[in-house]
Amino acid sequence: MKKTIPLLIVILGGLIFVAWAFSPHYIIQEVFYNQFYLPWVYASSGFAMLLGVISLSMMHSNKIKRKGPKWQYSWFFFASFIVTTLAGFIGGTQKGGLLMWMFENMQMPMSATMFSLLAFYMASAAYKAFRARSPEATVLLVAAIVVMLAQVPLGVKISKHLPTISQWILDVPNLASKRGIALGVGLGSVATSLKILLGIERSYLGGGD
Amino acid sequence: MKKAILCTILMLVLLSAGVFANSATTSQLNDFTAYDMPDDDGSGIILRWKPLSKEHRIIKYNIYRGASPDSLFLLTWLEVDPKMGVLAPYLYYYDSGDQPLIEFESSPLKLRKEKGQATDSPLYQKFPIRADLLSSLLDSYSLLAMTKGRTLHHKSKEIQKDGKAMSGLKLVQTDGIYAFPMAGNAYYYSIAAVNERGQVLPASEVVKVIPEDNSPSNSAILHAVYLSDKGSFNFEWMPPTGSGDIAVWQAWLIPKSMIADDGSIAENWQDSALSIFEIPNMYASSVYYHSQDFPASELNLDNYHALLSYRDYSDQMAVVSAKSFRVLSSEELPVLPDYQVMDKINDKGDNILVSFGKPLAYITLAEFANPKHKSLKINYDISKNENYTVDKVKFVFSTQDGQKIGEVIENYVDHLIELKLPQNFRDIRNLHSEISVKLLKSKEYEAETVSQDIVYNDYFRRFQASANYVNGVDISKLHFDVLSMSQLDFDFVPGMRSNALTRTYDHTIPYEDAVFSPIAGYDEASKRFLFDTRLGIAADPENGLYFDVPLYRSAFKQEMEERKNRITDLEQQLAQNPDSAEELSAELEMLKTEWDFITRHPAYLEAEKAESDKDWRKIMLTWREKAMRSYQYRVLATDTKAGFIISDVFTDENGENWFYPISQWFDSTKWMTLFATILMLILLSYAIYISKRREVYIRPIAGLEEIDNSIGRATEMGRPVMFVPGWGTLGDVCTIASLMILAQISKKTAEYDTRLINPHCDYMVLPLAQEIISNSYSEMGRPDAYNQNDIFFVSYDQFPFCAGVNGITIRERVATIFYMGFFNAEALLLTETGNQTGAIQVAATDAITQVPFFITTCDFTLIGEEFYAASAYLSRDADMISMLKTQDYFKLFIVAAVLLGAILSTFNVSEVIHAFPLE
Repeated sequence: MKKTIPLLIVILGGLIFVAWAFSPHYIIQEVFYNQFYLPWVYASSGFAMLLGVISLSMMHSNKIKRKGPKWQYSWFFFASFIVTTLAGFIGGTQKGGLLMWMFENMQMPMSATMFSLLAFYMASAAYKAFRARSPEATVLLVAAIVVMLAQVPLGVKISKHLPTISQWILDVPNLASKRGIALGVGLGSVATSLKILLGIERSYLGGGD
Repeated sequence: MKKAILCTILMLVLLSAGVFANSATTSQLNDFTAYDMPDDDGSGIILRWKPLSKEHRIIKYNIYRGASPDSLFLLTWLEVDPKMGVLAPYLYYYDSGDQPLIEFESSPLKLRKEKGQATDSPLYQKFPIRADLLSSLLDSYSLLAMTKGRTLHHKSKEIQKDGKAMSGLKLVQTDGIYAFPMAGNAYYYSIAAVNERGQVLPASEVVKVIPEDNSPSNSAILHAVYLSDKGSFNFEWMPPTGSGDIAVWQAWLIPKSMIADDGSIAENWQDSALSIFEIPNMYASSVYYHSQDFPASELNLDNYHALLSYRDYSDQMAVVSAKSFRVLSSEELPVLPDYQVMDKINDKGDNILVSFGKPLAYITLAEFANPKHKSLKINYDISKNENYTVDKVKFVFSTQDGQKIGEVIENYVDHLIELKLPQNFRDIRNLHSEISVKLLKSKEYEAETVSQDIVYNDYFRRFQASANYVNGVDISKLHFDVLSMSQLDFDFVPGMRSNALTRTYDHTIPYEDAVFSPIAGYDEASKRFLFDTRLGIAADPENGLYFDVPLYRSAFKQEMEERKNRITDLEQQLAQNPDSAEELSAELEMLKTEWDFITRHPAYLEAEKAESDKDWRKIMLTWREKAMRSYQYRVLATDTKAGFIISDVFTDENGENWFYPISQWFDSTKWMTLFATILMLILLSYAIYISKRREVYIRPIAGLEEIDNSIGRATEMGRPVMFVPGWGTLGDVCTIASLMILAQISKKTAEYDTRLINPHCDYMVLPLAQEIISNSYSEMGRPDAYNQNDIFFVSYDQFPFCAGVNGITIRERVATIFYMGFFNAEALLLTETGNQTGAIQVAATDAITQVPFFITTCDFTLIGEEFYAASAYLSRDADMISMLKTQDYFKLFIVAAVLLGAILSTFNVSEVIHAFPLE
């Protein structure tokens, strides 16, 4: 019973969304989806966010209590959480307020810093990937060099055919493999949805009967 | 020394005070004026002010309006760039009431003074949601409430006001209130700048303005044609600005002598003008057409010119002369297209489709494909009609004198062809093309061909298409206009104009949602605003009759009673006063016709049988909905200079000329998808049958085989395992697949008594993951080992989440990391960090762009469908494995379909391709 009712809800919900995918009818697209489902999702997502906040607060408070490794950092969580919350509630979320100032001058530069690390990590990954250790890796190396050179003016200087070859690599072998993966992904996601819809896959419901 | 210091401090204080005082004065807006908008009905006001310099870092200018100088409310604002400032010398704002006075979502509940202003400032923030305050504006503005139709019709309360039944709504039942200025009333405006710090700077002075009802502008553009064989005039005109205020259109012929060389019209032009027609302005449109019989064979039209005059509701007039006035015969008019009207398929019932014919292909651009001019690369486009599918396109190229250059048959419509140029045509600069299309399921190319001249342009170094001819008719200057009339209209409304290449027109007929209703009053006792709501049921354009009912049955009964009494009165008066029989008979006749029109209407007859007031209203609303969404159509073909011809009302093969959009239950473009789904279910049944009888083979997947080992390694090292589910949401299938794998992995960690860390970036996924892991630990008999604090939310943003996970990887010295789910740019940042710490990494994702990074930096990567197969692979459950086998069987069908499609396409058989929903 513990599983049956949730399973029935999942199957019913799944069937409704199958109908939503196949039917453009006003009752399904407008009355159900826009007037009932979406407002319900917006309303419930607020509560789910609260769950996230509680989870994070519990983890950090436990860390402080237990004096876990690097527990001092958890105070930063509470401090920044309180400051941003107060900034938003008191000063508002509009441009010019403290919250937006913190977003633009603290969070955005920090995110940009993380993102900029990608360039170095990519170089490191490229170094690992492009070592000609085997015939396959050599093909990869050559293809990568051709495609990269074709993106810059130097490539055209070397050979006017380089952009054509690069485009062919992207359009034929690369696209073929991408489509192969996409086909598998598409089929896999359909199969997973079907597994859930038919009640074959129940692990997301947890244990017990 | 002390004196010197004191003096210095004093000077600094004075200086800074001076600076601040200066800054305060310069930050106040000046040169602010407000004046009446010209050519309108008195509802528009123009505001103009000089913006502050960019040093003030202004982000927006708040605009305040009030009906009295002591209380001005924030109406709206204009955003500006704080870095660039405003480059123009002045900023303008046109207030025509289009900004809401009250918005349910953003207006405050209480009256709030604007920040940063003097204590006696009249400036307030947005108008509060307060009925008493709003009611005080009823005489100052024309107020309009925006509300949901169903709220007004079903939730309003009947309130009697001056013997009339009105619908009453509370202010909170509305979604917004709009306040339109009224001519003759005084309004007060002020502007305040807001800087980057959110400070509202001192506002400008309050300026008073009284809008006026102006005469219409003479900016209408008129063209006229006299059809000599028919003896009728065609008038086509674009209305002037502010045409909503026009009450009457009048057309005239005047002697040319009345028009001066500079185009001005003599003041006494009406003395010698011949009136052609006078019609009321029944609708708002971007273009108007009128055809009027007016035999003018006795007039020498060379001496006359056409004129259009128009009057507004306060009888102010403007007049314009025609830009062009031609005499044509009917044969010179454009030809009407062969059109069809039908319900649009696969929609939710809010469109009617007007189809002008079969699709056309036409060339847009061409260029030499190589320096030696051996071939031409030609771009073409298709003017689509969703009722037909273009299968092939045939291009025949020739020189201007008819010498054939080549022919291209496009078997796959990708909007690009290549024409090989024969040796003797390599420097050609001028081509002629004939283009025809072959429709799917048709054996022949369509007879309708597009002829184009493709001419080389030396400046652009490309070929450009000249005028398009369809079956010899130049369509580049031909336009179609769809005229529609609902069952509640008195005339056909134009304005849905498109060029003649267009093959279909979608007439959108939306379902009623938000309605705008004028506020007629306020009921102090019930604190409700009053609306004179009437439901239109039917119109009779021939007799000028309109059947509409109030929202309440009792009020309708009273109206009918009054009508009946009036008829009886008139009959008695007619019997007593035979002298005024003509006048009374006409009125009596009109009233009786109206009575019959109403009482014989099916809506009336059906509603009469209603048992309750609610049922009565429901019946009336149903009929109203049908009437307001049922349309008749006519099509007009015009050369845009009054050379137009209008079709009759369209009637379909069943004799039906009213069209009502129907909501479809099934999207017919998804038959193939439905077929594939059913096929998959059949294959699944077969796979379940097979897998329950014998063990089926599953290809070994290295990444999944290694899960046991990698968790075992973490156990041996005494370090935790981390599972990162990516940043997909619960709505993504990959997240669900990821959670299924998490269930299996958490069983292993429970079994090996290894700590499992599970960070999340989606708060909806988090509780589900906690539940799954908790159950896995319970199933393995280790509920005590479950630690909820190890399954936690990190951040909803991509890079903060990435930074958090990287930090955990390093601090906790994680031995094994599983990345399973949807990843973007953070994938490489995460896996490189894991790689550097020496953790065993297993990744699985359906994000194709991230697969190369995972392969490079992780020990094992599950690509594409392997990710979705993981839970079945790990659980070895027969049902789950049967699903895996189903995928394999289905792949066989896909491969077969791909092969078949490739072979048939090679032989130019494209029916198979068109059977699939390809974009």
